[in-house]
Formats: sequence, structure tokens, C-alpha cells
Amino acid sequence: MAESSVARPFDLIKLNLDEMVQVKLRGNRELVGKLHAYDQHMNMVLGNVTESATVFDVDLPSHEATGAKVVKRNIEMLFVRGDGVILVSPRAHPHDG
Amino acid sequence: MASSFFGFDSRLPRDRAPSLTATTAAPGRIASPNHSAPGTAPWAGAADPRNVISFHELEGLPAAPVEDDRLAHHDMPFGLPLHRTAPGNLSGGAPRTPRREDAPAMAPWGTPTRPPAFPGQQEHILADSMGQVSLEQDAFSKALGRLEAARRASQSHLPHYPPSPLASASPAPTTSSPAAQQPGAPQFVPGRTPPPGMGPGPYPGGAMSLAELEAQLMQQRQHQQQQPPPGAARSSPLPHTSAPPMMGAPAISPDGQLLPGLAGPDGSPFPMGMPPHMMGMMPPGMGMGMMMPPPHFPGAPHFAVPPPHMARDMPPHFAGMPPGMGPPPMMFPPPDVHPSMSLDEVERVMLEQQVQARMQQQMAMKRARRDARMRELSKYNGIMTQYEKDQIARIQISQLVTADPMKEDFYYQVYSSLRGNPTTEASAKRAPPLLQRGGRGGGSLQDQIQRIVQNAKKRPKATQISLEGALGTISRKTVKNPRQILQVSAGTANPTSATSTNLRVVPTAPSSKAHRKAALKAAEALYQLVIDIENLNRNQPTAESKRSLVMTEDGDERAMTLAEELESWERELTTAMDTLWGRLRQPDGDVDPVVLVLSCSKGKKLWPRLVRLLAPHHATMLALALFSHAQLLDVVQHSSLPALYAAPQLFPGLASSRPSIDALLEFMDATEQFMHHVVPPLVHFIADAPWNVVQSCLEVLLDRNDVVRLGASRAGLVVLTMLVSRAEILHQTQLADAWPDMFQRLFAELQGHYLAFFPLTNVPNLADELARHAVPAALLLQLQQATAASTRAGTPTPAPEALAKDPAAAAAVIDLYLTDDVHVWQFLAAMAVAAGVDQQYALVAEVRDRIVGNVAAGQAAAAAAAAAVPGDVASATLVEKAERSLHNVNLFLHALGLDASQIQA
Repeated sequence: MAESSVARPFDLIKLNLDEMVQVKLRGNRELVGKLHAYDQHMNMVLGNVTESATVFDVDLPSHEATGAKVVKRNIEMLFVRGDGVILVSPRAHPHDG
Repeated sequence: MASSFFGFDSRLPRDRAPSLTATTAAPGRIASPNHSAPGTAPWAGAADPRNVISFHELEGLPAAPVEDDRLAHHDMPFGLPLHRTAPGNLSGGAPRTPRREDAPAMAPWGTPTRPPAFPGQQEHILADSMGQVSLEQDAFSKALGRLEAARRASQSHLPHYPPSPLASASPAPTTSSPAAQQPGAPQFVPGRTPPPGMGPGPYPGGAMSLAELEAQLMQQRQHQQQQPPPGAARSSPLPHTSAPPMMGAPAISPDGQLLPGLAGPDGSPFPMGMPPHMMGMMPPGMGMGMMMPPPHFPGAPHFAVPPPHMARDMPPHFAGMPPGMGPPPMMFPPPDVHPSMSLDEVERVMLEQQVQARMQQQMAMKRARRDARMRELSKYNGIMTQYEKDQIARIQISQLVTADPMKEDFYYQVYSSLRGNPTTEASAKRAPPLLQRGGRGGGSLQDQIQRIVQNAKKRPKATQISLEGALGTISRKTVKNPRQILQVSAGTANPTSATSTNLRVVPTAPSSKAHRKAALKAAEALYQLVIDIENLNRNQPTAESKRSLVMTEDGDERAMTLAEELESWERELTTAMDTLWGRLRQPDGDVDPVVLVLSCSKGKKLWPRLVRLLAPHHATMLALALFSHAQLLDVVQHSSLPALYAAPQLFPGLASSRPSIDALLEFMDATEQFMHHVVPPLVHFIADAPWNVVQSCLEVLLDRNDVVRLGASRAGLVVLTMLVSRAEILHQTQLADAWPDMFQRLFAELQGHYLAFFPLTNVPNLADELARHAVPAALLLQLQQATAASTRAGTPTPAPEALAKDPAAAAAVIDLYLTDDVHVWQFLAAMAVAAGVDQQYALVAEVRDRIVGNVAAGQAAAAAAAAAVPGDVASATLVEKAERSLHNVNLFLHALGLDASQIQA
């Protein structure tokens, strides 16, 4: 049992439980928060989340993106539907070299 | 013959609603039976043969009249109501006049499944085959016609108001009933309920004026005297009893007694003088009517003889109400009034009766509606067999039942157990789930099934839940595990094992990424093992638990005995424990697993659960391992972080730059987790440990570690304090002879370094930093709690959520935490207790400045409090600090037998 602590790719997420993670979502959003729970659909419960949504100012006639700004907000506890999750990655640890 | 589900001949014409051509009675005029309108009184329609389809016209087979038009089937070929002129001969046309000779001789109505309507009818039913039914119907209609005629004849002199069921419960029929209830006269009641409140009288509700009432009463009384008791009059059998009761057939049983709940003389369903509770109850002799009793489903209607006992069985089914009971009667009682009663009293009585009558009317209506609905709903009954229904139920339940709810439904189990124990610590969802009675799960499959079934029966659940504030609905019935499309086999790939062995060799640098990953892996592996063991512990086989199956030599399966079950369970548990211990002592590279696991907060949280599971000798070994590598713990290693952060200029030689606020916060978090999760079990362990254990711990600690480094960290100080005080206690009870020597050694090592143990005095610029950085409220809460020990009770502590938003307040909390020197003083106190006088002097001399400083601050506390601006956080902090310093220094001074008040600052 111990050797198969990471047997499946999914188990890599298990390693990040209770750690700060960075989640990239569809719709140009990113979340950074503490991963409390997840399941096979990649639904996740995150705590102390900072959501950064990148908003593009589109020039309507030409449909060109003229500018981008990032809108941040803090959410204390959040449930993310796995449908929209693109990637999950451990947040760079401040202690890491 | 076409038999519908309900066992009557659907070829026959059905009821139609009474025509609305009737005129309302003129005010002041007692409506005579011939002129009463169906709309005016419920019973009136029946009395007037012109306004309704009389019974005989249908040849004895009125269908259940439904007052709800939508449900009624109005067969109206050519726009005219159906009538039968001869058996099997349907024609539209004017209603026929009743023919006496048409009244059948009490033939059963509809199918032979009706109860006998008259003595001897049993044979009649038996004898007839289906083909005979029409004959019977004919005979029946003849009888009905006779009854009709008789009834009408007797009614001409009758004041026209409905008999009340409220009169005495005597079965003696009242006025109109005897005459009307000639044998075989079903009182047909039209399907339509007249609007309530229409009565024969001018008043609303059909109340009559007093004069009218009195006239009626007088006539009634005459009638009553004229009519002999019904028993004598009735000799002939009654076809009506087999008539559909909803028709309001007169309540005459075969023995001629007036039966309760049945039609009154005017076709009203209730005879006069019926007690109200009799309403809706079918007498034993009543026919089936349109509603076939459930026992006859499924399948074709029975043409077998309904045994007479069925008649007895019917009443329960009809307990509600004869279906399609006609307009409930509005009856007035045979008056108990004397002519000498006052006008008011009589009026009052009348009104009461009206109210009650209306209530009954409504109830009857409701019942009729309900029955109609029941009929609609049960139209398709009987398609599935019970076995098939059970099959489907089994399939559904099998999706709900889980063999191991803790595995498959973990979150809900923990959630419900946490809800059930609000007092327990809910640190994370991984809190050891102690299942209470309320939670579903943990029991055997049988129990689960039973519980599910009971719950399902108790309250019918909707298929969809919509929570407030949620978009859309949550579908309740979903398959819990999606189909796995990818087949990923565990452990087959060589790369997996290769990488795992690579990862075993962990670089020693405790801060590297690989180290971190190894720490997480170790923590997760241990978590898995701990959870498995806890599961096993929870599922110890008992006498009632489910037995697993085992194969015998013959190839059969049999259930294991309790002994076998226990044995296999023990084997599993032992294996698991061995694995756990193995994993726990398995070095990752050259890093001790204890240190590795404790280097992440996950591991710190796991620690108490882990230690709890271990056997005592293992627990001792673990503690020793912890002590021997104490200085490698992250909380000790990074203990200089606060100082580095606050005053980097004091450390010029350090190559590393000033740590970020993140690092600081993380360090504080780690320290608090350690103090909160790891230290308490250790305290327990040491407090109960015998001297030899304590001695080994101390030795290992001193040999392998630099105690100065340990002392510089809060966690290290706490550990040292524990050991020293325990050793001292043991020594004072003569159990620890070697302690003094050891103490000397410790003292010598620590000498001169005590000042380094003290934390910073303040943390500058914290508020500015925090303004740019969010501080998690949880951390703040922890810090508050940690400092609460030394703050004066009663100082207001703002809520952590509010603090998180206010950087100045958050900074104050952090400042308070970081500058708290209580641990140092506690350690010094422990040392002082164990120390000899000289050593005490040395101690005091070393920390003299600190003592003085604290005392001075404490003595200035009063002044500071006075000078404090109430709302200002900074000044409040100063006050708190001052008070705290005094308190802390006293810890040490009391151990020396002194007090701060003795010192002049």
C-alpha cells in the first residue's frame, strides 16, 4: 500500500491535499488556494482562495484584444466544479530554493 | 359483454348531468317535489323525474356520476343523451316514462360480481352467465321503475326538503323514507352537485321562514304517524342495494331494515334521521358500484360469483364514500321541536342544521372527488407483478447500499459524524470519524437496506433538490461511480517503481522541492495506512456482524464462523500495523521519516492519530526518534525566521535575503501546528513515562542535538521544558537518581545562551506588509489563542475574520505572538526548580536585564493603560505587552520564590 502512494496520475493530486495549489480554470481564471478536498471529477474544495480572472478589453468592430487586466478577488471557501478545471499544480513553496 | 376494469358494462349509457332547466323556487314558496329544480336542492333533482335520468331509463346501470365534468364521460350521440329502449338497443331520444312492468325483478346490476341484493339472489347470480346480464338489467330496470313510481306517488304531499342525517340515530325511517323506499327503488341522484346554499326557502342556505318550517314539520309528523314502521312494509327484495351506492340507492338491506348511509326518500343519499357518522359508510349489502374493489385487480373482472362475503368486504373499501355519491344531502332533522319552542330557538336549530348539512355536503363532495381521482389513478393498476416491482426496488436499493461506506461515501460520513459531535475538534475532514448512531453506514448491508427502505417509506423524496441560492437543481438519483473508461493498472509500469526508488534518495537540503515532495508522499502513505487501520479497528467482527464467505473444498461457499472471522481480521490488522511501522521507520535517503513527515503541516496533523494507533513500545521508539532528530525539525530549523524578518540588519553575515512575509506566516503556521498537534501527545507520553524512558530521551536529545539551537526555537523550548520538569518530578520522588548529573550537563551546555532564547521585542513595519498581503483568518485565530494564555483575561479579542481585513489589527496580533516570551520564562522556571542555589544565581544573573525590563514594563502598565487611546490598536498592544511581561516574569520569579513586586525597576 505504501509503495503505491502514487500509483495513478490522480494520486499526484492527493499529495497536494492540505497544501496551497494553483488551479487553472477555463475562462481565463486562476485560483490559488489551499486544497481541502477533491474527487474523481476534479471537483475541488479550496480554502482561502484568490481568484485571478483575466479580462480582455475587446475592441468590438475588429474583435481584437486591446488590453488585458486581471481582476482578483478573495474567497474564503470555494467549491470548484471539475468540469472547468484545466490543471492543478502545487504552489511554489516559499522555502523552496 | 364489455366489462371495464370496474366490472360494469361500459356499453351502457352513463350518467349525464341533470339539465339546468329547472326553475328556482319562488321565494316564500315551499318547493313542491314536482317543481323543484335540481339546482336548488341536491335531492330535488332526484325527485323530479323529468329533470334527471331516472334509474329505470338506464335500465339499472347508471355509471358513477361524477360531479366533476372533466371526468365524466358523457356519451351523447347526436347530441342527445343515451338511452336504452330495449336491451342492447341504444338510442338517443326523450326519456321514457317509467314503466312499472319494466322494473326488473331485482336482477343484479352490471356483472355478477355484485353482492346479492335480495335473498335468493345468490342463486340468481350464480345461475347467470355473462350473457344473462342484459336480461338482469332489464329486470332490474323494471323493478326500479316500480320503485320510482311508488316513490313519486308518496312524495306529492311531502314538503320538499331533504332529510337530515342529524336526527336521532334510530333506524326508524322518518317521514318520506318509508314511502319512498319501496323495494327496488334506487334513489337516483344526479351527478351534479347543486351549488351550496340553495334551499327551498327564501333565506340563504335554503333556510325557510318559520311559518314554512312549521308547516313542513306538521306534515312530516302526520306522515310519520301514517307510515308504519318500515319493517312491515318491506318485504320484497331490493335491487337497489345492488345498485351503485353512489346512486344513492335507498338504504334498505335485504331484511328490510333501513340501512345507514343510504339514500333517502327523495333520492338523497341519506335517509332522514341518519346519524352523521353513518354518512359515507356502505352497508354490508351495498353493491359495488363502479369501483371494483382492489382485490379484484389485476386482470379481467371476475365473472365468478362474488361470494356473499364480498358484500361484507366492501364496506371497508367504501368507507370513504360511495363513489360519485350524488350531491350530498342537505337535510333537516325530523324536528325535535315542539310548537311551543320559541321562534329564535327554532331558527337557531335550523341554522345549525344548515351549517352541518353544508359541511357534510362539502365532505361528500371531497370524497367524491377523491374517489374519482382514485379511479383515474388506478386505471392502470395491475400491470406489473409484485415480483417485478420487488426486482426494481432491489436494483434501486443496491445502488444505494455500499459495502464500505467509509470508503465510498467518506465525506458524508465524516460530515454527519462531525455534525453529530459538535464538541469534537473538526480540524480537517480527516478528523477521526467516530460514527454516532445517527450516521448511516458502518453497519452491515442488511441494516443499511432496512434503513434505506424505512427512510424511503417515511418521506417520499423528490427526485430533484433545489437549494436556495444554487443555480438549477441537484439531481438526487445519480450513479455514484462513473464508468471508468481508461484502464489504468496499478503497479504494472516499471517506471513507477523506478521513480519511486529514485525519490527515495532524497537530497538532504530540507527546503528543496524534492524534499517537500518526499515529505508529502510519506505523509500521504502514512495517512492511507492510518485510515486503513482505523477502519479495521472500527470494523472488528462481532457476533452480529456480517460474515464473509469462504470456499470449501467442494467448491461451495459457506459463511465463516465468528472465530474464523476474528482470526482473519486480526491477521489483517497485524499486517497493517506492521506495514505502518515499517513505513514509519523507513528512511528516505538519509532523512529520518519522522522529520520528513513532520516537515509538512499535513504530517503534523496526522501525528496524533498515528501515535494513538501505535503500540506502547513503538510509541516510545517514535518519541526517541523524534528527540534524536529534534533539531532537524522544520520548526527548529527556521526558528530564526522572525528575527531575520524583523531585523535583518542584525545578521549581516547571512547570505540569504530577508524572508518574505509569506515565509514568515508559514513559519508561524507550522509552529502553531506543531504546538497544537504534536506537542500534546508528547506531553502525555512524557508525563507518564518512567525514568528510564525519560533518561534515554534526554540522553538522545543532548547527544544528538545542539540544545542551544533547540532553545532558540519555541518548539524546542517546550520540549526541553517538558523533559526537565518530568525529570525533576521523578527525582523528587526518588526515582531519578541520575538526574542531577544530567542536569549539570544540560545546564553547562546552556549556560551563557539564555538570552538568545528570547524572542524579538517588536516587529516593525508589519502593518504595511500585511496591507499588501492577505492573512488567513485561521492563522490569526491560532495566534490569538496562543497568546491568550498570557494576555489578561477580559481584553477584547476581535474576531479573526475582522482581523484578516484590517492589516493594523492583524499586525498587532502577529506582533503579540512573535514577542511572546512566555516559553522562555517557563523553561527558565523549570530549570530553576531543578537547579541548585548557585545555578539559580547564575540563571538570574544571566537574564537580569530581561527580568528588570519586564518588571519595569509591568509596572508601567498602569500608566500605559491610562495613556492608551481606547480605539488605537497600537496603544492597546502596548498595554497588553506590558501586562504580559509582568505575568511572564513572575513565572520565573515564583519558581525562585520571589515576586516581581520585590524588585525595584
